[in-house]
Amino acid sequence: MPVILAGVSHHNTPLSVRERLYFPERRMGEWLDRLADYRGLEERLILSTCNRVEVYSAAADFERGLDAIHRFFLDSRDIAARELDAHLYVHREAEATRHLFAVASSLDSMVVGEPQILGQVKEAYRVAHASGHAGKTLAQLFSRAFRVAKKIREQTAIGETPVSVSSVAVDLAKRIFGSLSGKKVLLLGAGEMAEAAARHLKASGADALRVANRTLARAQELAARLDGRAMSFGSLGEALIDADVVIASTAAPAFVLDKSDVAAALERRRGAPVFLIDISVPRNVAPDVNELEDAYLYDLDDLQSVVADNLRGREEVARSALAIIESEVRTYLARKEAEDLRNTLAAIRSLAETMRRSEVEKTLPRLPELGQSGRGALDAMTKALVNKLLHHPFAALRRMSEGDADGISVESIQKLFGVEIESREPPPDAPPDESD
Amino acid sequence: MVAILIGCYLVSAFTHLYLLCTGRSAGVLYALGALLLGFTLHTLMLGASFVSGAPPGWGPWLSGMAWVILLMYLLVYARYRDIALGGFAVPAAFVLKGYASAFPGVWGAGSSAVEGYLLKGHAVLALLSSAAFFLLFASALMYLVQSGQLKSRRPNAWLHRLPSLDILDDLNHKILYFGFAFLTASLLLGSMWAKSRHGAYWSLDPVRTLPLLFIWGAYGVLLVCRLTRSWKGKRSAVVAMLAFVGALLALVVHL
Repeated sequence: MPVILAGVSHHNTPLSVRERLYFPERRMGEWLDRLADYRGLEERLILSTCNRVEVYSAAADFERGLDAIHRFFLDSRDIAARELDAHLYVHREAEATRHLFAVASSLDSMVVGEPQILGQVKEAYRVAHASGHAGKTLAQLFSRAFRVAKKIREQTAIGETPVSVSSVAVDLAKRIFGSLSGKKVLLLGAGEMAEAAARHLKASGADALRVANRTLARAQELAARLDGRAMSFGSLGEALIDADVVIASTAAPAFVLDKSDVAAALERRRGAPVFLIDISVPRNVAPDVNELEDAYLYDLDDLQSVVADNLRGREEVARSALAIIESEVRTYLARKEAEDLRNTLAAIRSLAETMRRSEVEKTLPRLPELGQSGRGALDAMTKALVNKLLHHPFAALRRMSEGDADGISVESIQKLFGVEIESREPPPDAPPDESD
Repeated sequence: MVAILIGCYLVSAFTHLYLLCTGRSAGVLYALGALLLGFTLHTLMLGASFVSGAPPGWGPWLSGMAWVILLMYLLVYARYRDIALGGFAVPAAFVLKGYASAFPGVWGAGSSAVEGYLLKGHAVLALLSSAAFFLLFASALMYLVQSGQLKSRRPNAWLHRLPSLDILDDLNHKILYFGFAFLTASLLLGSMWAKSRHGAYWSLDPVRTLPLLFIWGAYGVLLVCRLTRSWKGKRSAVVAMLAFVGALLALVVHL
């Protein structure tokens, strides 16, 4: 059964609209039940995150299905038809498959490669499956999407590079110190960004945090929040000797640390390197500190250009990942098409057999003079007739499944013969909740 | 058997280089699996040739060198869980092992039993120290690249392919210890052999002995500086690399 997808995302829809379409996760089962009240959707799933709201559905009739989703949005969300139409994108089958694969693999995310989206998609599927709204079509589609996401993560290492200033700082610190556990952090100044970086470092194992600030009260305040110790600017020289990571973010108009300060500290550190993160503007640490052998100095620009490099790197990876998606979509659709066709042919054959039998049974009482052999001949004749009639179309349909479609879809064949494939069977695969 | 072994090393060498150059993590199992299979075969074969007293030749020595390099790499992997050093160790072992099986030349052995033991001990220890210094060269090189990456402030993808500076410096330190200890012991046994063979602890040929002493001195100074003057990081890495180049030259002259 064909898949329909209708939704909005951060690409084309401002937050002011997205927030009105957002479905709170807690009562997702109820929303799905309400969606089911609209006729025309065989299976339903709602993916609702802060960056996207999308309805995935299996529907025999595209127009009817789309209309159902449309009315559902209008009836249940605070949005006018004109506004919804301006933002809603609609994809079916191949496009919808491609879109879901990209979403699950985090290629469509605001920050490409971010890891949360796959979990959100899995949760959306889990809810839809548990509440009986996701059947065979969505089960196959989503389990394939999860596998594609896993494959892309493994093959492209997307999402492994840090893309925020403080995570870049932590990443660089790890490249210098290996493990951060037991490393001492010194904060100069009590800025917000410095606090974020310090929290990040602490979360990665750094401890023994010290905070120095012009006003001691602010230092104490921040130190209390970060579970560290406040100190006065006067004892900076001593503190520098102990510090493995220095984060500078004071509002001082001139350099707080120059080359000779750091050189003096390094002298006493017996070759242990120091990582200086200067996120203040104007800068707090003299740039020539980086010339000292064991000092690694990064200012805000440096960190931001690493972030930019990493983001660019992720987008490049995303482009190469699109090739994987493309081939996965093709394989998936070909398999689905072949299976649909197989089922359709089986349904046509069984329909023909039922008709034949009922016609034979109707005719036999009118021909009482027919003996046993005559009955057998009649049976064989009707069978041969059915087989011969079906032979050519079936051969053509099988060729079609091998890529020679000639614009005929499985649905049009179903309509032509008046058969419909039931898709409410339980999914053949295990429910797609593969671990990460 | 040898073909399987060399095949394993080849697969592992390529996988290690591939992993190192692409930074991917999928495939580590193949790299290590092939290596462990080859290494097990190698161990059995070396053991067998040791028990059966195979005729001495270049082959077993080079083969032993490959084995020692891999053993050290496996120990390093067990400690740090990082395959970067393998990008150097496994290809080197593959080349050594391949060369060893292609050219099993004859090695001149000592005349008496004692001399034989001394010479063998000397050679085995020299082999251990050479393997260690080769790995030291590799990890010092990685240190310089990684430190250059971090200094540049615009690190590229190699930042994540190489181990952290801390691990590399620790590695440089430990390998230097072992290498120097083996080298010292090897020189002692060598001079004892020279005494029993030629009646003097140092043969009179300065061309053969001086470079060795120079190398021993270089690594020794490096070790002492590390211990007493906290020569860490870049300086130590540069000296270690120079010393290895010098050691190669000295070894050629010595043999």
